[in-house]
Amino acid sequence: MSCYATVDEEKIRTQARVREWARSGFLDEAQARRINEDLRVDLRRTNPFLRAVLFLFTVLITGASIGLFIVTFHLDDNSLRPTCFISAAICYALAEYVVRRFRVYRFGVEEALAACAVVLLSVGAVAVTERIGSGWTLEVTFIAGLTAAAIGAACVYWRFGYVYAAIACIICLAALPFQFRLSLPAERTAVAVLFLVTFVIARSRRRLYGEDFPGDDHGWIQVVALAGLYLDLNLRITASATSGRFYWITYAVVWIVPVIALVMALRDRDRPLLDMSIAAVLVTVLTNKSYLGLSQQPWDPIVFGIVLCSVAIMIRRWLSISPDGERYGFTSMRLLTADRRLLTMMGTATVVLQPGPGIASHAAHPPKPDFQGGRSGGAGASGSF
Amino acid sequence: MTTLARLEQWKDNGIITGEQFDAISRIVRRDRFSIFFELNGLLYIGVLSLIGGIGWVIETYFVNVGDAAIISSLALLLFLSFYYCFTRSRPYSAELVESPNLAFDYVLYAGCLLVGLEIAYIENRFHLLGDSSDLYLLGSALLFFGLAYRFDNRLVLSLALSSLAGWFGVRLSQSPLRYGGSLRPYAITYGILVAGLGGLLHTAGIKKHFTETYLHIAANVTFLALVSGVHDENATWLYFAALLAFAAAAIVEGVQLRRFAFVVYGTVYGYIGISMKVLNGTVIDSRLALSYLIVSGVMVVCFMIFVARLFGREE
Repeated sequence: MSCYATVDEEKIRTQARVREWARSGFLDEAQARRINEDLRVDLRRTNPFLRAVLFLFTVLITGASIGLFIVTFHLDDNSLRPTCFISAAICYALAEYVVRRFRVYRFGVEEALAACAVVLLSVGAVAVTERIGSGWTLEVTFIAGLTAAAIGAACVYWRFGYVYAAIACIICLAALPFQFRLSLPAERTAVAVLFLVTFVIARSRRRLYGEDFPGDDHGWIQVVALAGLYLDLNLRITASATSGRFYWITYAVVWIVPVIALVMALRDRDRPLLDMSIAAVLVTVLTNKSYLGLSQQPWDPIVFGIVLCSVAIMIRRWLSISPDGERYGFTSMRLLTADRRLLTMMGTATVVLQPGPGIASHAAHPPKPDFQGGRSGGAGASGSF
Repeated sequence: MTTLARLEQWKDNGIITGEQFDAISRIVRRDRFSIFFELNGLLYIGVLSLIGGIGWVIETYFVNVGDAAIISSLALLLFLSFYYCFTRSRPYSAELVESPNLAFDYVLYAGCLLVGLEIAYIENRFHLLGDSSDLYLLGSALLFFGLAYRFDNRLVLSLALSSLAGWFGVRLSQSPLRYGGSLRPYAITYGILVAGLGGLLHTAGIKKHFTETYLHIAANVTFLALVSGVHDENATWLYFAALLAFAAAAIVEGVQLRRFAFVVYGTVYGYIGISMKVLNGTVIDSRLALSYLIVSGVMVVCFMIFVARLFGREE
């Protein structure tokens, strides 16, 4: 049972959409204000930046508090186990208290407490398993830790609705088959089945609710499940196998899965799924040669780049020559300012990601001594021919 | 209650018009779906891959192909991309100028990357500037700044800023603690120069939408350099004093201008600097260190809650 009312969750999501419509010019300021009056909730929220800092420092305080308790009372390994469980319970209780008492929603503090509770529960489970099964293999402790973390994260998701808790739960569950020393095909198949089931469930709920709560959460869960399924089966990325029947089955699957996902995303106009499936298609193309055991040629990136640019331009032209710049509901025009903000962020982030090493060099001999740094930028002028 | 039901309710109550309802509900129902971001993403990856591939081909085959063929090919591509940009661009304006088409920004970006590639090749083969080869970085940075402002292109602006950082000897993706003593003043100078330049252009009303890019980069580079100075035991206390002053300024300005990323920079970098000084020589799992972390952490959380309640309510 969630600690937030569904109607509040819906209103908060709708508030965000109203802000976006107002920014994009679909609503004027007065209309947005009137609508926001209608969508008012009695929950305290904050800016995402402040939320991140509150999360970070609450984790710091929690960790330091537990550390101080252990150091002050000179706790040994035997006492560590109950300490972890008691701390987990206290963290969870505090998270509940903060939400109920202060009516906070995604405020950082309560999120950090809930996250710490899950981590402490997992550490406690590992410590208990080490204690009762001293002769057991290392994998058993991992299984205990991952299971506890998965259960804890699922509880946090159901109670507080943090989508990253659901994602953590899925990842922990997916890591379990790797602890059983199974053969590669068995291990990968088990993980694939788990991701596939998760994807199917999340997808059905996503289709049911669309962008409305909780459809938005399920949109992210389905994307993580698809990414996990893809990475699990693309053996050129996540394994060293290069032959065998299973290897060639995965070769077929890494082509089929992204294409099916792309078709589904286009049919339902589902953005998270669309972006994920495009990324998967690109990775499949990039890993194709190594899958086939062929060596990469220097002109491969040129061909890849030209194909990508050509596809983008052709789609854009195909859409733009129709009367309204639209075909089957798709348009290449920017409808919401969120797209521009995303591109702005991407543009700023490229300062640290500018293509550099490996393309060329005219800075092989830095003139300023003892920089211990090197250079950036120059349109990639810092490698060597 | 779904968003569509709410929209209908607002229309019935006269809050929004029928036209607004139609326009918004089409987007909500996804009857109108933009792939603007996806197309931009494909073009960006495509250009990076293309230029990377050209670099790889040159690296592999320059002995067989010869300097003349490589330089003239690159020059031809460069000419074509800039010719396209100068003939298709909209007139210059100090305000935001939309690109004439989707591919335009990426043709310009590819052209700028080709400039870097061509300069790099020429210098690497002929060493025209000898020991002053870093002047190429300064020259290309100035060129990129000019092009970024002429064509209103943030990708090229980022390229200009990272080229300028390169001329100062700063690598923006580098761990701050690796900033050597001789690099620090350059990094701080770079940060101040970039912030000053951004502020100056903002005051002059030229491409105000670029200002935040300048300030984010300037703040991070300066903070990282100051933190590395605080971390260095041989460095002067001035770094610590400057870090505190800079952190306070970032927090105050960030709150005043409602730019909370700068509040975060000031808080986190300031906290790291103070903690380095306070915990210097202290074992991290000692009672003193842990008590400090708890007390200081609580203070930061209280301060952040105060800021959040007063100013940072908007999501």
